[in-house]
Amino acid sequence: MGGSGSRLSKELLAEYQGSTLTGSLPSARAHRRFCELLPQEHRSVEESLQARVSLEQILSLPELKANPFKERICKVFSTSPSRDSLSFEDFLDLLSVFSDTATPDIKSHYAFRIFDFDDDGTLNREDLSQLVNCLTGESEDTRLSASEMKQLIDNILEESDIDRDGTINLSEFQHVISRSPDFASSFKIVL
Amino acid sequence: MKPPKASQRFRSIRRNANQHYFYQESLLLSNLEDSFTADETGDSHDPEQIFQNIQFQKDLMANIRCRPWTMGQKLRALRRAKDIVLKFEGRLTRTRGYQAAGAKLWRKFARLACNFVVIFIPWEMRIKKIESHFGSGVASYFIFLRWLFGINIVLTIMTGAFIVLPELIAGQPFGSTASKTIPKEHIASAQDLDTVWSLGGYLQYSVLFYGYYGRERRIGRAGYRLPLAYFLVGMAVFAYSFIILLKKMAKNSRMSLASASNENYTFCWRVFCAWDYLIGNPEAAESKTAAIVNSIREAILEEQEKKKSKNLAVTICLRVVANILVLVSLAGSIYLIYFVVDRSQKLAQSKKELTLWEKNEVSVVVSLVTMLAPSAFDLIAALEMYHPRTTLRFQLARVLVLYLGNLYSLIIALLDKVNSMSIEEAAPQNSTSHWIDSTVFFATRAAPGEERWSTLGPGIGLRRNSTWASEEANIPTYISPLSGANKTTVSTRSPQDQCWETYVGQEMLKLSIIDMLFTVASILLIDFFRGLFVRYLSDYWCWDLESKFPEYGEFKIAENVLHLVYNQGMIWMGAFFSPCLPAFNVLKLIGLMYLRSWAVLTCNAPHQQVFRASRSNNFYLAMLLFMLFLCMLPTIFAIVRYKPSLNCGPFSGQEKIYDIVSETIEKDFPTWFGSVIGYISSPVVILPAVLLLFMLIYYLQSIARSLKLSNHQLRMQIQNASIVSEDRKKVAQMVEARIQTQDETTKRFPKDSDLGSQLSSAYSVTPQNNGTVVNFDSSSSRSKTDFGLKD
Repeated sequence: MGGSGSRLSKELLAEYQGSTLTGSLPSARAHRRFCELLPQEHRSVEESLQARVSLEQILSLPELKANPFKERICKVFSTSPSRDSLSFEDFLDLLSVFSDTATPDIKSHYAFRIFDFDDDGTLNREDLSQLVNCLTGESEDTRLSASEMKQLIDNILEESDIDRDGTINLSEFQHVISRSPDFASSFKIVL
Repeated sequence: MKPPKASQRFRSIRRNANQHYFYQESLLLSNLEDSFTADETGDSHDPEQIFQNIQFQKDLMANIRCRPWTMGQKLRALRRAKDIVLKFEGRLTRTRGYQAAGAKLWRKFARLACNFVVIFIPWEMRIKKIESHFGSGVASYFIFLRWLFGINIVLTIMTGAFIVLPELIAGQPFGSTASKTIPKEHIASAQDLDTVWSLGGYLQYSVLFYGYYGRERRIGRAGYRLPLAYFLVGMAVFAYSFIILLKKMAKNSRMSLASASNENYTFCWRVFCAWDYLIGNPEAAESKTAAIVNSIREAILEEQEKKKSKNLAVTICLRVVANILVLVSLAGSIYLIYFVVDRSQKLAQSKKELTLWEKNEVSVVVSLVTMLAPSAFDLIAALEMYHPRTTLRFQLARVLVLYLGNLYSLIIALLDKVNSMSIEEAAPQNSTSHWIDSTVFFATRAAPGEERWSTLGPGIGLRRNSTWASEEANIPTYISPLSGANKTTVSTRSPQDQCWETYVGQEMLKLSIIDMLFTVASILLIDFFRGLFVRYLSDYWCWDLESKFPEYGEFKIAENVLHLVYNQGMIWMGAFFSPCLPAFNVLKLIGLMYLRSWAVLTCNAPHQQVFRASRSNNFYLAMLLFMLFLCMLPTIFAIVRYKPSLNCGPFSGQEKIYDIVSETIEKDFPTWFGSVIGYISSPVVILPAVLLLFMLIYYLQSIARSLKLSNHQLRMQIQNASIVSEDRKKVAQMVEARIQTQDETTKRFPKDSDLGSQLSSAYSVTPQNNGTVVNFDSSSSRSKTDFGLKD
């Protein structure tokens, strides 16, 4: 596996590809981009598979920079105890969920986790208002007023909360998302 | 036995819960671990259980991609599953070795093929760049264009491989038969720019058009049946288009189930599905943010306004006025086309030489109308004051009606002419003829007895009459005395010119070319120069050109997609009569792709407000399907109604074009086959089949209705179930309070406190995780009994 510097062995690639990703996202390309984020001395194959990249570096990727949910995305896919760094496998995970070939179920599952700001398994009112604030940006004239926010959240809950418990759980969320025609095509990141 | 296992499971759950959530994945993983440990703990001698376990692992391996686990978990599960299967399959059977190896090789090959094919998808980087700047709405136009490009490539391959190539290789070469030579009087002008522009001369007598193809039943050494192939490929073009379009629509409607139900999730979608993750450009991100804020605010306003009452009278008045205007303009455009056709007809009669404008007047007018009328509709729609999405839909409907009206009025005029050409071929004693220059597009029906011999002397007219009569006797061969009759300078029509199918093909190709020129002109003029104007002159202008009128143009997704649909409709209309039309369309689409992608990146700004034309992705595909159906009708009509021309094409001499099929069945197949086909195509079989199809449609519709009803009932059940679980929550809280008080008094069993806290947290999860209700209930009830035992 020493080979040429920073190339994954074929068996490992095949394993990744066969079990988790489909052909349209070559793991080799992902590995190259991941290695670019590592400091120079850690770019060998063995090290890159074990090394972890900090959140700031991942956030500097052009595909993520403009995304209002970038911190949440990184937190969700990070498997480290303090949730602040991504390993190569996490990175592959991220790319495979956001790829063209992931099923809508997986996408909606991860979208739910991204939107769940307090990580409690449901979307309650605070989660929803944080979500809307992320979407509307930082400047004063684009933020919604308190009454608008309240009305918006009331309407959202009225539409999607089937069991009327004041929060949206995973199945309700997936039900709403599955009816949307353009969720799958917009929930995509391509390297 | 049981309590340690239960606590083990609880511990693993709690470990998982700290890292992730109370999600189904943790349960599945714990099931996985359970099954694994079950194997090792001595149940392994039961073949039934082994078999089920192996099935489970195999299912796991097949579905591993669909599980929302992290990469590490997936890899571990996969390796474990493979180990189990390997270990136990060896024990159960040995003959599966080859099968397994074969399956593995096949999977590897399929993956390689998939990777390989992806390299060939064209324009990936270009579309990705547009996606990151403009979002997925604008990019959908380009993806649709690429899909149409794929369809046209397949159509080109079909027509090229089965019709064009055999004719080129094995058919009679150019100049050998009558239908393949340029008549003498046209040779002199065959290379003029004029003739080439109107697709006459060398182009007319080439594989481009129907008239070139030979009549022989079999050509070449292998006996390739060209006429039969021509007919079958013509039908196959439509069949293939239908099939691929319906497949794509079915796939789309499976992915979005909303089309069948009337569920309304506007607010949810505007918040959850609003962001376009493909955007990588900060400027585009800003406009997207602005668009999202606008859409949320507008939805809130709409909600509030639903409760207000509006001043309806004025609005309805204005809407009626707007609709009247639109109808007037539609009628006006159809009349204009008819008028221009008529005028060019009269001009062709009265004048010898037509100016450039007069020759091309009709197609220029058609293209101008196609280009300007949508903008006019846009302005009129401002009167109506509908919701923007409704406005967009009305606009699309009107533009579609306009395009269809244009296409149909053209084709009706063409078919009129075809009709008259057919009549004239069938009745040569009639001393009528059409002195139609090949550059004039349309003609109205010629009344019998109409004399157009005014430019010729009577002597030539007589000679022409006699050659008409003799021509009727010798059908396929060309009669040379005729050329002697046409020594005048006035362009006359020789038998080859009477090829109505070539004529139709020529018209369609001309329309396509002119449409392309106008598209290029409009992109350059409207978008590019506007962009230059705004960019460079805004410094010297009184007001800021970039933010007020005229601004940079926006990419009008809906109208451009509609234009693509119209373009494809033209191709379908003409494909039977001009086999190289799909090939031309391929080149046209390539050019369009490059030009439009350049234009959108240089001259357009991202949208401020984006409204989708409809909730489903199938809207544009449905329009395409509608267009395909309507454009197939004229071809079918011409095939069924008109007699093929006598002097050109692969079907000359037959009564109807489709006779080639029955002729082939009679001559080349055994007799029993012919009689079977005869039975099948008789009304005795066809009518019951049609009835059966109607019954099937009714049955499927009633199934869909009942499914909707059961959906509704399930929803009610969920709501009722949640009320029940609320009560259960209260009970659990009371139990927890009891446990807490007992803990404080007796600290004998630390493990029980674990169980107790697990119990309360498990209960707090119960109402939310629908799928996990049962499991948690059972496990916690088990712990409750354990607790009861220990108590």
